Parts: sequence; C-alpha cells; structure tokens
Amino acid sequence: MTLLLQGVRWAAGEFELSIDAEFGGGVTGLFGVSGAGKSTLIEIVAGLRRPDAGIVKLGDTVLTDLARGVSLPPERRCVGLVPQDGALFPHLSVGGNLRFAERRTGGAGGIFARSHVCELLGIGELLARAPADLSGGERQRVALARALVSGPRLLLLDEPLAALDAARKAAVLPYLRRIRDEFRIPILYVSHVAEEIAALCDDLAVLAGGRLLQQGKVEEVFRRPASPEVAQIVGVETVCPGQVLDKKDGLVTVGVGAARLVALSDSLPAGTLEVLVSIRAEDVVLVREMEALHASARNRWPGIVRAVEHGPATVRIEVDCGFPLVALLTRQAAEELELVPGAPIGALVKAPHVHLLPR
Amino acid sequence: MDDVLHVTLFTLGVAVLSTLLILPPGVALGWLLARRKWPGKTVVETLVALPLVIPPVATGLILLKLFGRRGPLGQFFENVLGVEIVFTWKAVVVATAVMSLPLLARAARVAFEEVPVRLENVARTLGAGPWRVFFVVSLPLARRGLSAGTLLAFARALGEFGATVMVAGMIPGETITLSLGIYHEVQLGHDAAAFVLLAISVALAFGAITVSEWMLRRKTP
Amino acid sequence: MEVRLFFSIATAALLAVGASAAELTVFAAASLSDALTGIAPAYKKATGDTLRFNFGASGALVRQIKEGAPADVIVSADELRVDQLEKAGLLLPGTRRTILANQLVVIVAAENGANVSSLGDLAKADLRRVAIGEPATVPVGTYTKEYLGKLGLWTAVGGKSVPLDNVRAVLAAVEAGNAEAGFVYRTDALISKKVRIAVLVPLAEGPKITYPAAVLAGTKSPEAAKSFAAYLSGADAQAVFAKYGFLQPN
Repeated sequence: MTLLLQGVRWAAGEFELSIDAEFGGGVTGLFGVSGAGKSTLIEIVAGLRRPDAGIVKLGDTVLTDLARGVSLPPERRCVGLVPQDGALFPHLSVGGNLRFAERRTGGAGGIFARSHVCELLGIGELLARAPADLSGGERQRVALARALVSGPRLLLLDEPLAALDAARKAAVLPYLRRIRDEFRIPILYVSHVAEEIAALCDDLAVLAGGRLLQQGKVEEVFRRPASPEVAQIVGVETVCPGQVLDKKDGLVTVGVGAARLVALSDSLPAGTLEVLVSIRAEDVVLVREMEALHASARNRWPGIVRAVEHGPATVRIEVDCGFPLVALLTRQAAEELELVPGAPIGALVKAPHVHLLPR
Repeated sequence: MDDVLHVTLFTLGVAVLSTLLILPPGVALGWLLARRKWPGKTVVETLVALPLVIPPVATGLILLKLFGRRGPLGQFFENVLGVEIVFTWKAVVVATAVMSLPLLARAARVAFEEVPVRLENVARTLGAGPWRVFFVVSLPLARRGLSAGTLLAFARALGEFGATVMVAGMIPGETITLSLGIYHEVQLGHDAAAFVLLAISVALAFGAITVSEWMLRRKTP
Repeated sequence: MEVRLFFSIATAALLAVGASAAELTVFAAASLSDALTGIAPAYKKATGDTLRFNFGASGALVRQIKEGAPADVIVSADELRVDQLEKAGLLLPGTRRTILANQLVVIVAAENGANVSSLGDLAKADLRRVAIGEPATVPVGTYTKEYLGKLGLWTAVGGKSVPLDNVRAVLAAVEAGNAEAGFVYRTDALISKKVRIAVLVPLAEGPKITYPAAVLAGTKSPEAAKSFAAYLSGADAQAVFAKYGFLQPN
C-alpha cells in the first residue's frame, strides 16, 4: 500500500510546503531539522490540517482532494498518529486509553487485537495504571499500542523517541522494530536523529524548507546526498549494511562486501547478524603508503579514489575499498596527497569509530 | 413583608433554573471561543463581555425593550408561545441568566484553553468524531474549571438586582428575590427586615464562592 | 477717574444682586415635574432665585429628608407624608399650605388599548396586569388601594397589580404595553399622547387628592423659601398648574 502526495501545498507567512512524493510500504524516515515542515506534513496526512491544494491518497482511498472537494475528517482516515510525548489521555487508565481507540475496529481481532498488541509492546501489566504513573518509555509504548489497536492503515510516528533519554531510547527501539516487522502497514517515521532513521527505516526522505530534497534507500541517501544541502542535513558519513562474522576479545568482525571491518562489540546485542555500519567521514584517515605502516588503528583498507568534491574549506573524497567509504579532509591535506579519481589510496579507521546498528 | 423563607427559596429556585438554562450555551460559547476563529469573533467576544461591563440597569433596560409586550422577543413569546415574560418570575430568570452567562462563558473558555489541543487531535485520529472527542476528552479534562465557573455564575444569579428590577419589577410574592427584597424593605423603612435578607444573601453568596475557590484550588493531577 | 468709579459701582451692584439671589432645592412629587419645570424660568426672571428640583414619589422624598437630605421646600402629593414631617418637627412652622388638587384616573394605551369603561372591568379575567404606584410609598398607589378597597375591588385587582416606584413609571408601563391599564393622576394622563383616560374617578366619590407645600426647618434660605411657597399659591403659578390640568384645592 502506498501513500501518495500529489501537489500538496501549504503556506503561512514566509514558509511554504510543497510536496510531490510516494511512500511505499515499509518504514520511511522523514528527516529534517526543526522548521523543515515535518510536523506540518504529518498533520496534513492525518487530516488535522487542511492543505491549500493537493491530493493525498492512501492505497485506493482518497483522503484529500481539494479540487474535488474531498477532505476526509481524521476519524475516517484510519491513520494512526503517535506524537512526541505520546499524548495519552490523563483522565483514563492505560486500559481506558486502549478502549477509546478500539472503538473504531470494534475490538476487531487479527494483528490489531489488544492481546497481541499488548504482548508485542510488553504493556500487559500496565493496563490498570494511570498515565501519570508511567515512565517515559512505558508511556511511548502505550501510545504506540493505542495507535495500533485502532487498526490503522498507516502509522505516523512524530519523533516518538525525542522525549526519551539515551537509555530509554535504546529500550524502546526494539519495540519499534517489532512493529515494523509484524505489521504490514506503511510507517512514516519523523526524526532529526540520523541514527534512529538508520536503525529503523528502509527508505529515507529528506525535508528542508518545506520541500523534499531527496528520497531513496537509507544507505543511498547517506552515501550519495543529492546536494550539499542534503549532505549537510544528513551529516557526512558512510552507511552500509553488513554481516557479523566473528566476535572475540571485545571486538567484532563485520563483513561488508569483500571487505572486513573491525568494531567494538560492547553495544551490540548478542545474536545480531545483520547490522548497519556507519562511519563518520571525519573519522577516516587517508594514507599514501599503507603497507609499511605500524599503526594502532585496527582497520586498514586499500582502495581507489572514486570521486573528489571540493567544498569551501574541506574536500569530500569517495573511496572504493570493496565498499563505498567517504572521507572528509582539509583542502591542504587533499592537495598534499595529490588525490585524483583513479589514484590508489589507503584508509585507516579506529575500531571505536566503526558504529554498528542492529537491523 | 414577604415571608423570608419564601423569598429565599424563590431566589434559590430562580438561580438554579437560570444556571441550568445557561449551561449548554455557556459551555458551547466557551468552547467556540477557545477553539475556533471566525470573522466577527471579536464582536461575539464583546457581546459576551458586555453584561459584565455595562451597568446592570442598562442591561435591564435592553432586556425590557426586547422582552416588553411591544418588543420583538416579547411579541414572539406572547403571540407564538403564549407566554408573558416581563413582570413575572420568568423575567427574573431571564435577567439573572443574561447577567451570569458571561461569567460562565469566560470561565469555560479558560477551562477549554487549558486542555491541550494535541490530545483532541490524537483522539480524532483514533477514530473519534468531534462530538465524542468533546464529551470523552475535552469536557472531562475541563471539568474543574467548568464547575468553578458554574458556581460563580450561580452566585451571580443569587445576587442579581439591577437588570431584574427593570424587567421584572418588585411584585410581592411573584418577583421578589433576596436583593430586590432588601431594596423593597429599605424603601418601606423596614430596616430590620432588610438586614435579615442581607444576612441570608451574604451567607449564600459566601458559601457559593468558597466552594468555587476550593474547586479551583484542587490541582489537576 | 470717572470710568473707574463707574466700574466699581457696577461691580458692587452686580455683587449685591448676586448675593441676594438664592438657590432653592425643591423636593416635589413626580406628577408635578412638567408644571414646576415650566414655572422655574419665569420665577428666576421675576426674583433672581434659581430652582433645583428633585422629583420622585413623595414617600421616597420624605424618607430622604428624614435621612438628612438638604431640601428647602417640599411639595407632596398627599397630606399623610407631610404629616409625618410635621410630627417629626422637620417643617418650618406656619409655612404649610395646600396648593393643588388632582383627580385619580384609569388609563389604557391610546392605540388598541384594553376595553375598560368602568372600574369593575379591571377585575375581568382577560385583563392581566394593572400598573399602580407602590401603595406603601407612592401617594397615587395609596389612593388607588384605598379607593379600590372601598369598592371591594382590591382583592381582585390587587392580585394582578404591578407596584412601581412612582406615578410616571406607571404611565410608562401603560405606554409600553407592559400593563394593560394603570392608575395615574389626570394631569399625568393629559401629558401623554400614548395613553387615553378610560375611567375618571368622580371627585365626589374618589379619594381627596391634595398637594401640600411647606418649607423645611433645615432650610438655609428661609426668606427665599417662604417666598417660593407663597408664589405657588399665587395667580401666575396657579395659571400654569391649571394649564396642566391641576385643580383648585377645595
């Protein structure tokens, strides 16, 4: 099922939102800094805000078509929304909040059944509690459960982890993955934190100044930002999938294509096989002659320069080490090394700078 | 002098009836002012505030012109519904209702403004129509402010004079409330009787305000 | 030199005139408002004294005087109230005199007024409200209650009566249609085009309505006040009163 936005426009004061996009099944990250228009877009899809023009379609159902005078009210859209702080009804218990949402499906079964959802999100024991007595993480899980129990055909998560500290974020993330894996509905995940997007999403859409700057697979967007603006927003780094091959002595070996990467294993949950590798371009050291090098870095990859991009003060180098690696150098350094496409070069990265995210 | 008990019960009865009458429009007005914008909203806000600001007798005069036998509303009530308003107990109810409605509407507005719109929005996405959202989410969460506002309106209804005397007159046994009774007794030179009614008025108003303040002070969890 | 002398004499003369010109506060029954207001300018021209009026129901005026309101002259619509003042020693002795009389009437609206031709008609069921002055404090109301009582009609009519603050309020209520009929003085009925007289209470049977005037003991200008009270009985004033429909007091 696809979410289609055609010619969706909304303007207020200096800000103008203009979107033409299609979001397929799976989890799509909506990435951008605050003020980019992410919440506005979410509200338009949920039916809480009327665009000035455009069409919004979910599968075959037209949610908004202003030219034809169609504008379904939010309660008829079957779109689940989970805002930043969960927005639980404080005067109802957890069970009451769920009951409120069940009215739409009439407590219908299937994957949206309360028992299933509660089990999935581990909130079975919280049903009698009042929202004020819940921890931040529990509140988010209840908010997610409530949205699911209403039987949505699309899930909109508006920065659901933003209000949580690092520990809670890490605790809730697996539940989000479970939702992604269990429910066959498209999910739009709004965030301004790249790691969350990378850990959860298949696709990524970058929003800035009310416009969609780039949309594609997560790795693609991170690896090949379509413009310096996108690059600046997503951060310059290498992001690619890999397999855990070996774990020993606190180190883990990850295979990416033919290359071997060494990272620290401490943050990786046991039994993880599929990972997403992310390396910041600033953490990559390029070396002319690597063979004779005695260095502390565990990762040394021979490779070939593929692209050189000059910025105002820095140079972005793309190196093929058996996987695409991005490095950021000062202009001076790039000149000294005489980097041109096609030239052989080696890359050095310390093990702690190879970040792993379970997939 | 009118039977003190009769006057007290009449005053209470009228205040209760008038408060019940203004509850639906007062709460509705409060919600509209809190949640919606429309061209001419300022006019409505001013009209709602008017009885609070202009002299009560001025409001009474306006009501007299409207509900008098020759006035537009008076004609409607008499010719269409067969009901007389001015110089009857019904006029007392009308006067107290008009004077206390602004208090309720403003308190309701504040109460609804304190209910986060976010909650109402999420409720809509969960499949609840606007009415269900109002009754299951907005109203319960605004409960405290609304109760305090209702009590304030009730206290105001208890003490109404200026508008009431204009539109209902001081007809013994029919339209004499506690406040009208005080004035009447003073006019007749029965100071002692006036003070008895005064004491009852103060006690009732005091009670109503105390409960209202207490309700406001209980913090929402 | 002569110019200066002239100005000094002129100023002195003006001051002398100003000093003797008094300002009198006159408390008078509401039914006298038009007539007395009409008399004031002529009086000022003749004597130089300014008249300030406080019109209202005589009962209310008397109460105010008892509470210390500063009045020089009182003209009441019934003897009873002035008796109260006399008993309380608030009148200047020897200044009380009856200056006018009036007649009680029943009025209805001039256009589409109720069908009333006798006092008995007031008791009929389809006549719903009768405006009267508050019997306890307003003379016209006292007269009304007394007279209806004498006819045995007070129970019937009193039950549907709307007691109002003064006679002009009764007039206004009948004009506005808020009461189908009302009891006022004939002089009040004559000034309004919106009402007509339905029943004239015959002078022989009806209450004796007389207007006493008196100077109050607390007056600050006794001479001027006495002059005014005397003036009211004089030919000029009586001519004005007659124009408004007031009667001679006998």
